[in-house]
Amino acid sequence: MTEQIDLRSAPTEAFIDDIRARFPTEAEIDWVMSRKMRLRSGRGYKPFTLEEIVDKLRELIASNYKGDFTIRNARWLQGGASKIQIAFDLEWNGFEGGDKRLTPMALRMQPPESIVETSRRREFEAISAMEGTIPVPPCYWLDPDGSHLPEPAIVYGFVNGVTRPSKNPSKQVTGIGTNYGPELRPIIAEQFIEAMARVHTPTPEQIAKLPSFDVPKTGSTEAMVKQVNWWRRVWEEDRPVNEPLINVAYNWLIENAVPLDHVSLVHGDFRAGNFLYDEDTQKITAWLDWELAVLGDRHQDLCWTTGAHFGHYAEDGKTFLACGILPTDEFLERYEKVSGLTVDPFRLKYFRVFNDFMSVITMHATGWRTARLGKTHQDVTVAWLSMIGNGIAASLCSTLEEVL
Amino acid sequence: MNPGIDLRLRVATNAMSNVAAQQKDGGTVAAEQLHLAMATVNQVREILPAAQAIARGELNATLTMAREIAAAMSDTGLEPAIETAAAVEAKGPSTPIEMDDARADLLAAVCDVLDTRKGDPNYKVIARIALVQNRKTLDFGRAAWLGSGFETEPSEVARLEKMRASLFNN
Repeated sequence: MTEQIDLRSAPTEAFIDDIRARFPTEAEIDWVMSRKMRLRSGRGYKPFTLEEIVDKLRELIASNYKGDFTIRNARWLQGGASKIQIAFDLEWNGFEGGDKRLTPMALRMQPPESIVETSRRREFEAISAMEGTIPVPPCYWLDPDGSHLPEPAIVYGFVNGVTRPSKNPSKQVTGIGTNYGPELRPIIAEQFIEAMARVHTPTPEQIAKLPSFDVPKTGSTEAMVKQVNWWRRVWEEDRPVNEPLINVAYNWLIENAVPLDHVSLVHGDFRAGNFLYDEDTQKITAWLDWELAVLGDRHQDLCWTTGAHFGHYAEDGKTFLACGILPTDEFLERYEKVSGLTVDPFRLKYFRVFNDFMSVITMHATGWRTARLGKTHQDVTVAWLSMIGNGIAASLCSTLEEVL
Repeated sequence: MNPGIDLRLRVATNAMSNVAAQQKDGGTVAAEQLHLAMATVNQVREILPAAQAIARGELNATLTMAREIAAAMSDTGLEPAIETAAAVEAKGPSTPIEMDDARADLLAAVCDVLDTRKGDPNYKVIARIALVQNRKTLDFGRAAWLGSGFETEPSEVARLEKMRASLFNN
């Protein structure tokens, strides 16, 4: 298509309000999306020096922490396609005012727009709610609207660990997922399922720590409809052209939404690659990337985790290992035992459609728009990743043909 | 849709000038951006000879979709958009941009029908038509960018390679 400036690149208030009215979603998501659209015609990504970011970071910390502190050893962090990340060491006395210490921390700041536009407030709350329940980095400070940093950001603890073995454990496997190797696999599997079960069974106290999340009602489809609307809204705000597949998928998802049977905290990207582990102790040290978290249906995570993109075939060449850790059936059986929650095949199918719907929107709409408007520090990465959308969209076509 | 040739070249040069060149202290981030930028430029250069065949194939599949939907359901109002797109397809040496624009208008008309006629008894029939033809248009992108290594269905690679060869031979 002609890559000319269109209404989506310079939206009017009327355009924004029309989409908000057609696709109502959670209040915090509405705030994030509306902010994105109101700032859209403004500047794109402007390069920052490390020193500029550190100056702003100092402002954020000083406004929240009254003691003396020094930021040391700041450096850019690699990894991910959506956020700007800087690691640093903070010399301070801690919140309790104890002895001077050096605490490794990380700043996670969004660019003017991301391939997934999400709430730093929700990310901060989700990680904080899970502290003490599963391994997560400690959260320190939040700049939800970019009052101090150039854009919304969070500061959390820097956790040591790796996302994949530093040495290839076996060469006989096929597929693109992380290969932990036959020895580490069962050790990771046990911790993985235990963590997932805990995330999916939040206590009322933990839910109370999530004020930026709408708490869904069991027996109702209202929350699911809001979630489907969230992504349709993103589609309407970001797409360069229409794709009939999205309209068919949206109609099916609304019509077939299943009443919620249990309120879970859903991570949204629970998979190999999104946790760190210590290679010596073989213990998971932190679960990362909570930006897509919602209160909703556990099957969203279960379906995501067992998806083809994150697994691979075992050394026998026949057994598919979900997330590179367990055969899918065994994974789901063990999850049921550990969590005490059931796994419903129809809900898995429903979320196969939902997750692919969300992924195609991210790749074909937001990936295109953010790159087109020069909104990120990694436009070339975002445009590159957009290519994944073709295969996922083809898969979504096939699934929809089955279920229609 | 995927970013076009112009956009991909632009982001590649932006990455080099705005990010990689600025971050002298950037280390691995800058190296990764430079690597992807160069790979992008090379891929775009490789695909350029097939740009017209891809745009024509996508327009043709979208026209088939619209015609089949118009035949399966009454009063869709698709005829004017079909006529306009068919004229662009028939006129011979259209540019990829002309063909993409005609396809975009046709897709908007089809999606309007899918959204407004979902209560129609024939809705499932037209939804299936849309899915089949949508997948055909996706194949052009999958075949064209096969070298990116993002094809998620290994059993489809041989078919897509054949399609890719055909696009470059036309």
